[in-house]
Amino acid sequence: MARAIWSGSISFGLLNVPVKLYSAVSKQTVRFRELREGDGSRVKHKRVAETDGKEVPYEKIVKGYEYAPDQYVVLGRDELSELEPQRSRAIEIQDFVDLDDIDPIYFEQPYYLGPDKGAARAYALLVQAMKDARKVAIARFVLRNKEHLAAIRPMDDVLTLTTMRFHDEVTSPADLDGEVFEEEKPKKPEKRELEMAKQLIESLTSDFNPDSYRDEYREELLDLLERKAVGKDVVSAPSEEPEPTKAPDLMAALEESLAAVKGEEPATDGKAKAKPKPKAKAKSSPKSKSSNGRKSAAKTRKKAKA
Amino acid sequence: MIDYYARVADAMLPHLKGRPLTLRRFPEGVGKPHTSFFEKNCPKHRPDWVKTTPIYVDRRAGEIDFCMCQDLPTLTWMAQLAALELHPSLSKANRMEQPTVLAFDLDPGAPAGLVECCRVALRVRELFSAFDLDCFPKVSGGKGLQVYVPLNGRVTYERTSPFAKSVAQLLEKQTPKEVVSKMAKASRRGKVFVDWSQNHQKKTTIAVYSLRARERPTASLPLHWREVERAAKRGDAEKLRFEIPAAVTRVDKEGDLFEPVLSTRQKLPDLGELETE
Repeated sequence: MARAIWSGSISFGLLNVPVKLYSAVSKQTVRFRELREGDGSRVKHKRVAETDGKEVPYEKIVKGYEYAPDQYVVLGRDELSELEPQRSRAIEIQDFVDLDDIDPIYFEQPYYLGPDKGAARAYALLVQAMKDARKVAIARFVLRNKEHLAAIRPMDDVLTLTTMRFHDEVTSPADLDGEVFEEEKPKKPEKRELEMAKQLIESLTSDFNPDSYRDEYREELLDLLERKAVGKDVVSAPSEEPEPTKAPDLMAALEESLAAVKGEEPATDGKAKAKPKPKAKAKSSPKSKSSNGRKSAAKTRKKAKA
Repeated sequence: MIDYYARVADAMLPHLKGRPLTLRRFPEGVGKPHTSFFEKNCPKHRPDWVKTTPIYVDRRAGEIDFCMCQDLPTLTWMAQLAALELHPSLSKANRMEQPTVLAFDLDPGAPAGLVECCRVALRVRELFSAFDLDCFPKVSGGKGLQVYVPLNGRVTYERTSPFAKSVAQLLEKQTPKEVVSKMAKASRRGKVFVDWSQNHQKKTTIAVYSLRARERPTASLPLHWREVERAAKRGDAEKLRFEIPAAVTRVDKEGDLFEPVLSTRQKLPDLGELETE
């Protein structure tokens, strides 16, 4: 598991559970470095003064708040740190609420909370109690010099903590008027239109399956990078309709097994001949686990594809 | 309806026994399907002889007590709750990770219908018979058909689910104009959706002999393969719809055609690898 990024304790009432905070997401963004075109030299950023172009060292930088154009109130480092929230080590639970009452618009960043040393029992107790109560705890805590609101809830056997936006950070729909609806407000939809739209929604309704959505842009980007890295010519291929028959390996394996038991060649493209396989019959002989021969055949097929 | 369940109980009960049930209830009758709801939680006001089993559902709901229909009184009680549709798990409560069957739900997208489902079902049978495995068809009672491959062994969903998916994909590959393997209803038009995804621990499938909510309720009944063949050949599946009186007569006459689904032990062929993607 990842390294803890914070430690403290959850407190409510008389209960005090020492915990550690872990990130729950690993950003998958592809990162680039800045280089000079031609020779590939790395590019470095320097902070320079606008007036004379001289570099300004870090310790000579102060922060200014622009209260009117070109008019600044300057705050020194000490003045700022005095104002920063007290470095508290407590995650203070304020309320318990129903998850459904929290609109997802408030959620920010997910973390996991794990028990700190010696707190396993108290932690497990809290997890179970929250599971049974089916409630979410709303808590305040300080992370990286900023006060946060957070929702804590059990997930399997751990607690998750999701930082939340404060109410005044979120724009309410009422504040959108005039900006989002530039034209006059539309009339109420006709009943028939509404029915049709509802039918459409119903026809597209399925279960939410998080792993069925992927960042296709990133995958294409990584693919492009890989091809470039091995020195192949990169031609931007016109995007194609997804092949309806694109199949994972298991389907190919099934197809080949099927062909093998039928004594036929698989009806596929110019792939190498399917090797005859051990019989795939399995009925009523529980011990007929034809593992080894088959596995290696599968491996061979994979190599042939690569 | 209560009478119907009492009369098919002998055939039906063995298929429900020991399995957590989801009830689809129609408190205001089937004429108002929008008032129906799926109930996983066994109602709190149940009589104490109704058996339940605690199953962990998900992070939010935690553990839920599911009803189990072990006997005639329970079945009658459920019918009285207007639990018209009974949706059992493919596994038994004591081995939730081990399905006793591999199930395919063949769901037609209009204008395709039951006839097209019959054709696809025959291909499913052909595929499994190549591996020397038996499978059994039933009408879903709705628009489609289901094909059950009995397993009754120790295999888990980890194997059955990708296997079922690969079967659906292979059928789609062979006849992309007739079969889809993906959930999205938009792509189903005129094709048969081979729903492999019910091979999942958290999913349920309509019970054999259960009624389906229609204005005139129809039953999910087992078929002879020859009936499927005939319907596919003639392009007419009208004979495969069973309203209550016809269903009762049929069950009286045929007994439990689905009995082999409970008693046959079969193993899926080993495809050598289990990864899906």
